[in-house]
Amino acid sequence: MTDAAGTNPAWALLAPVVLGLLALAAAALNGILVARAEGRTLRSGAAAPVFEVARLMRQRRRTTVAADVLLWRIGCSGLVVVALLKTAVIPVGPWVLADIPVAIVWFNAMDVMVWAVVWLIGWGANSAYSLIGGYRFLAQAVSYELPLMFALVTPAVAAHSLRVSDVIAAQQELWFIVWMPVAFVVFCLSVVAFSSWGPFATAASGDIAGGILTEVSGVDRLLILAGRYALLTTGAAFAVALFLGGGAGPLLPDWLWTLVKTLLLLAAFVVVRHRLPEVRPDRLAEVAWMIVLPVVLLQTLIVSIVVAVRG
Amino acid sequence: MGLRASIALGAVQSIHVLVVEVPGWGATRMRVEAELARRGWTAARSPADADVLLVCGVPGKKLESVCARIWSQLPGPRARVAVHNASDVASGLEKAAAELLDEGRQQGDARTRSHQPVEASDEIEHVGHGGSEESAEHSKPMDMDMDAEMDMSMDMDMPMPGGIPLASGGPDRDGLEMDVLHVALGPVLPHWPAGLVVHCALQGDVIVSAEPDVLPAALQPNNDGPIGNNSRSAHDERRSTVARLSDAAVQVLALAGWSYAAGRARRIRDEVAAGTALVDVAADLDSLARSVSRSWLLRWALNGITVGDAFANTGEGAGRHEPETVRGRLIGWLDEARRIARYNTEAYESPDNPELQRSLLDAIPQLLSGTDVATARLIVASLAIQTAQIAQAREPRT
Amino acid sequence: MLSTIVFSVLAVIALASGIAVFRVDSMARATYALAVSFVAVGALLLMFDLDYIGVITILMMVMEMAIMAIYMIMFMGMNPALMPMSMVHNKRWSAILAVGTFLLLAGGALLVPWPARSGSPATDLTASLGEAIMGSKMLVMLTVSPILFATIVAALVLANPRGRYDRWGDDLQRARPDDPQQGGLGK
Repeated sequence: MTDAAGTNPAWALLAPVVLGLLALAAAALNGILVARAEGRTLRSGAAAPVFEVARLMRQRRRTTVAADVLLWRIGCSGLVVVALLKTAVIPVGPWVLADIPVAIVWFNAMDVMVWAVVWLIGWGANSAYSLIGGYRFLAQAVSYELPLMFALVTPAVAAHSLRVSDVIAAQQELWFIVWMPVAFVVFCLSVVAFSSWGPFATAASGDIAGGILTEVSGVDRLLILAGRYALLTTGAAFAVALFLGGGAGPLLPDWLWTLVKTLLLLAAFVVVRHRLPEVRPDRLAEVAWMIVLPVVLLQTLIVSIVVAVRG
Repeated sequence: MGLRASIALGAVQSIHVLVVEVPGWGATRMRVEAELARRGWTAARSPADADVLLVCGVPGKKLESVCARIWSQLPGPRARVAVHNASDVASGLEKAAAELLDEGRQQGDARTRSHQPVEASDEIEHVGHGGSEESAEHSKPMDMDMDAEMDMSMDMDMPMPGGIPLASGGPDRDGLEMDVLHVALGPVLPHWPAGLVVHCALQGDVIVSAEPDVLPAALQPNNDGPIGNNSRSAHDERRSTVARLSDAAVQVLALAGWSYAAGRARRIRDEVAAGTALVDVAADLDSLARSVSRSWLLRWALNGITVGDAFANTGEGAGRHEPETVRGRLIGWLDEARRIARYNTEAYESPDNPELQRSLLDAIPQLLSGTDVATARLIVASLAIQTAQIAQAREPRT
Repeated sequence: MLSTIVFSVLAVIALASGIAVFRVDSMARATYALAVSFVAVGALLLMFDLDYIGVITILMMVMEMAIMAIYMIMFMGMNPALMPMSMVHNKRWSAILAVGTFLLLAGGALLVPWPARSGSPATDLTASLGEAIMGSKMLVMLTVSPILFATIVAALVLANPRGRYDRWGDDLQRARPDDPQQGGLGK
């Protein structure tokens, strides 16, 4: 398997662009689904994110009375920054920004940063609905975090390493999704959850007038919405690296396979939003701790036994 | 074309419109929503999200001051439209788009906006907090989120950032002491009955006490119901009932977070309102009712949320031992709409029942206390209060 | 040279944000200033090639600060507005103790004759560090974590004023538990 090359300076500039394009593709797919549901042409739906960006760039920023502006603005720009930090460890073909030996833990650390960032967005606005949105996110995060951690540990156990390139190399014979499906599903659901997307979007939902998005406008709003899509994209890319064999596949070069698989998984995430109702954090808690966590632990146990037996 | 102009042109392709519905103008509001969907525009969820403020109907004084306050919270570029009947909707939206494109006008508007926040009136509150344009000095206190009911006799030297006093504590539902925040739900909230204001005392996001109120319109529209005919034949009654039931289903489904199903219900409502024959929508209603009742995720999410005894004394509720659930109400509406569409039967309940609406309004404090905001929203949506009838039944106000 | 500069910068950040915890005007700012301080310490650990420990420190500390912010605000009743507040009590003695401890530790770090390195660092620093610190007591260390967790859960259960009989009825036969907020599984 190709060893990851050192930091390629060209990739350092290209990675954010690729991330942006993939996120835009996800937003376009979302727009297409909405347009189809409302009976409009697909083209108008696909162009919707571009128009939304134009609208938000034209809109002015606002503030509220006695808002904690420093924390608020840090929160608003934080989501995109966290997504970029996550892409630093994801290899696309031979390019990777930083193939650190603890990449899986780094990914986990970054999505814990999202806890802080989303809460800061909710807190900074000094608005009741905003605050409820921030707290809803933390309540949901407490529920999905332990299953996510164990779902991340499972491929690391199977590959005897926390480095992403080692995990990809260990999948040469058999992709991990085949014998750790539970970990894969839990990981994908956690990606949807930390992006505040789909069934786990109660932090930004309409019943609290937009939650964390209630008081933001203009470029702040653009950064938060873009950050959500960017987190979804990096999550999908990491799932491809951890469970779907990275760039493995016939015919096409491995960077192209990585992008194709990421796009497919990303499309699945976007479609999930339109199919399922939202899950409120107080309902999620019991299910996550009493059903999902034991199942994921069982999965990790089985994988560990298999790895130990294989020697 | 310059960069600015092309960005502006792109921006008006996806305008977000904040729709304020005055009680009684439900038909116009439904038409607005249909028109927004047709153009690819979105209904805004909060003033920060909105470019256009669209008021459906002629609001009374209190509601007018709420609209003025919301208008001041819209970040620029912004436009304001008033729509009085369904035929005005398209032209009103076009006018709004043209105003948004008018650079000179928008810049003039931005210049004339004060850096001082708008003076607050003590009684009416609205969504969230007030805001001003840039991060400027706030020399006057903004609208009070905390009511003046606080005990101000003690602690006169309490810090009051932004002119708003700190919350005081009170026992919460677990017996601990928690701060009490006075927040008014409505009158402008997504998927919320028109003109309804519920003054809540929140501890965290749990509602401790709730006081409902309806802000009336200045006058009534001269056509009733979603169809807009002066003569109400049985046929029109049925269509108006199907539209009303679908609309109620849209609100509950949207609040449950199932935007796909809510969109389907909305399409059915708009088709019925636009004149499609009921038999044509019957198939859509069937499949929607089926998928809603089969969805185990919806059942799980709405599990245990009931509307108590609010309907115990009506025709529907008589003889029931268990309180009606929100999910039960939702499925009941879809089933009834289905029945009316397919078999041309009459509706069970007549919509014109001010006593029923009043009793629902009076049941709100007891239904909402002890629930969290999400559950409270679902309960209010499942009551499907026709606020126009309550507002009409009061003494006429100017 | 570069590593000295980076080390100094991170150390200054850690100290400055630690001081900021007591100087800022809101509980949320205090909490996140503390988080910044911890992240700087985690970055310092990364400089020692202790990759796993450094990243885990950052992860745990940010998570803890996010949850701690909730509790601080719950107990102190603050709002997002910035208000001058004082978080210190017994200023004189706490200042004396703090400065004294700082001088003791800093003096130790600078004046103790540290031994020179013999041999080369192990390939897996995390494992060798773990062996060195916990070596003979590894079993205890492994079981401490779930025991801690079980203790916390048990303490919460004991502290809850509503017991089994409040929830399930006198003969524990109710179909659903009588909770103010229904959980996801109806347990």
